[in-house]
Amino acid sequence: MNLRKVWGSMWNRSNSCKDSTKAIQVLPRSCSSSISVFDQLPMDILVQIMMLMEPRDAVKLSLTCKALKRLVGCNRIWIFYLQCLQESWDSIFFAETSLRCGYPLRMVSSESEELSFMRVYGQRAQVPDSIIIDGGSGFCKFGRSKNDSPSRRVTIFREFGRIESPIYARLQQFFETIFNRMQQVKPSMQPIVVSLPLCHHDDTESAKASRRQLKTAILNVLFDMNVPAVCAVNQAKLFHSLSAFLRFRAVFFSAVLALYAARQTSGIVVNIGFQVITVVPILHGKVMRQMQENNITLSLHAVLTLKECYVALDYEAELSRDAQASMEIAGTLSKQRFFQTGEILFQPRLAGMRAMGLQQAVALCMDHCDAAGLTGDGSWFKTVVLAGGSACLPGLAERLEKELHDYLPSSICNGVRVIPPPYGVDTVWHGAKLISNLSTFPATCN
Amino acid sequence: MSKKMIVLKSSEGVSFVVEEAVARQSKIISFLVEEFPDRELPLTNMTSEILRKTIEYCKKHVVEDDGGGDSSSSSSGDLKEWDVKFVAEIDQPRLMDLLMAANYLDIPSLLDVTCQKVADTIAACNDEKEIRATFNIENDFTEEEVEAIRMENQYPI
Repeated sequence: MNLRKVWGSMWNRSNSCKDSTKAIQVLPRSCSSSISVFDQLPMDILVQIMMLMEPRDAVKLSLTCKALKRLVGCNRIWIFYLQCLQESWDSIFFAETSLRCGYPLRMVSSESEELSFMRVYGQRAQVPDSIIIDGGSGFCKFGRSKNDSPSRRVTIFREFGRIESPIYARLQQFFETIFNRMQQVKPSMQPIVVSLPLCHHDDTESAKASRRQLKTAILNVLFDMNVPAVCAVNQAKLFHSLSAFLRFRAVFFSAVLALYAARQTSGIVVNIGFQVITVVPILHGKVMRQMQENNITLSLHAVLTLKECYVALDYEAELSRDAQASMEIAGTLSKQRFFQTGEILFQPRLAGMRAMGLQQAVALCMDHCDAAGLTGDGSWFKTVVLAGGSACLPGLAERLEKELHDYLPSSICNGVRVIPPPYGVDTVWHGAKLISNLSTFPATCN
Repeated sequence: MSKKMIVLKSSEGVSFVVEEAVARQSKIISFLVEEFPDRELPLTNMTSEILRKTIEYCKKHVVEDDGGGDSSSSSSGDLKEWDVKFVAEIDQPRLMDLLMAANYLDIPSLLDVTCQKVADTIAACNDEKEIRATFNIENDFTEEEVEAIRMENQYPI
């Protein structure tokens, strides 16, 4: 009871003085050289007042004088304002502390200039509304970065075939269709964030060349749809330098975006998509191809079996139905069949296939990562994030985690955890949204 | 049984006799009454005017135990309306004093009402010049500095 003590002593003191004007003088009422009435207020009260205002009004107040600018600029208030936004504060905080500097990723260290959330708020408010296109292998999700979720989904495989083949006309049709379906969108005005389906994921020269071709083709298409001056693209150069020419356009790997959506910068992303399963190790936002487990392609057939179930359902449920709906319908299937279908991921033998189970593929990848010994504590690969439509199977994350703990040697398995797709089928789209709303976007992508 | 009364004394030495239940809405007075019963409580940083206002607020907000048809027990909607009128009638410098009094005496609901009023007053100002005039703030920025802050914090509507 400190308060009691203080009050007691003050009371005693005041009583010992005959002059009653010297009694309780905790707060001096008026100052001779006061800059403002606000100076007299305790910090807590000022914060309370500012929390009752709109950020816009807080800015107005900060323009009045230096003392108030300092007070209004305090992070506590702007964190509160950011928390009032529709977006999750955890995601904003993760993005602004881990991703805002662009590549190479680095955390805002405590020694460097402290992050001002007033500035972050101001910058985020000025970030343009971007068009986000997540070209997943089965469904394409597209929408605006300021919206809570993708506005529409299209079934890529039906309408466009394999978009990962770099055919200009097909890609052009794909992007034009998307722009047509979005309302009030001007391709020439808005930044575009495109996520590529992870294909040609080997570390071989031919796969690298295919990746390059696809990226170049996509950029060329987008480039041609956009009238404003754009520099010639040097096709021999890698993507990172390409994006420097094409301001306002960024192409990300879906796996990296899924990792960001889970508020991680390092870990292993297991993408169970329409046609492929990929196990992608990512360190500080960079795909570590040399550690990638490529043998997983063997179980691709298993996935196809799994997917056939969805495809057939989707067919009945009409083309326009979104992935969410098809998941629900899948849930109403006889429970046993549903259960068995998921099991194929872990035991391909059930479907009569000689392939590696999911847990083995992930474990093997972890083994590679561990052997590479890239970081001091060697735990960057222990967070597994699931992504892709088929990864939304209920119970999949728990099962994979359990399997990994059984399968891995104790030296590695300690600390391994599996995170289910944080935003379901739209996980990658939300990862892209995280980047598009960054205070430093689109400069981050240059 | 007659209600217990306590005496509060303003900075000008004016005594206010208040029902204990009314005064106890201040957590500080509540504490002091228990600690030093039957004593006049000098509130030397509160003018009579502000103390009168504070007491007026507390009288309106006192929760009647006996639940009789007393005029002070109003519905929450009426009370809110009353609060709005109450702070609307107070001019700017006195509002700040009342806010300070609410903070000093620890009367959370009065603090909320006055803080809201200050926030609303700021929001109602069109620009920083109007805020400066309203709250008597001295400008120590250059034009360029103001412009720089404004540029950094432009929010589209």
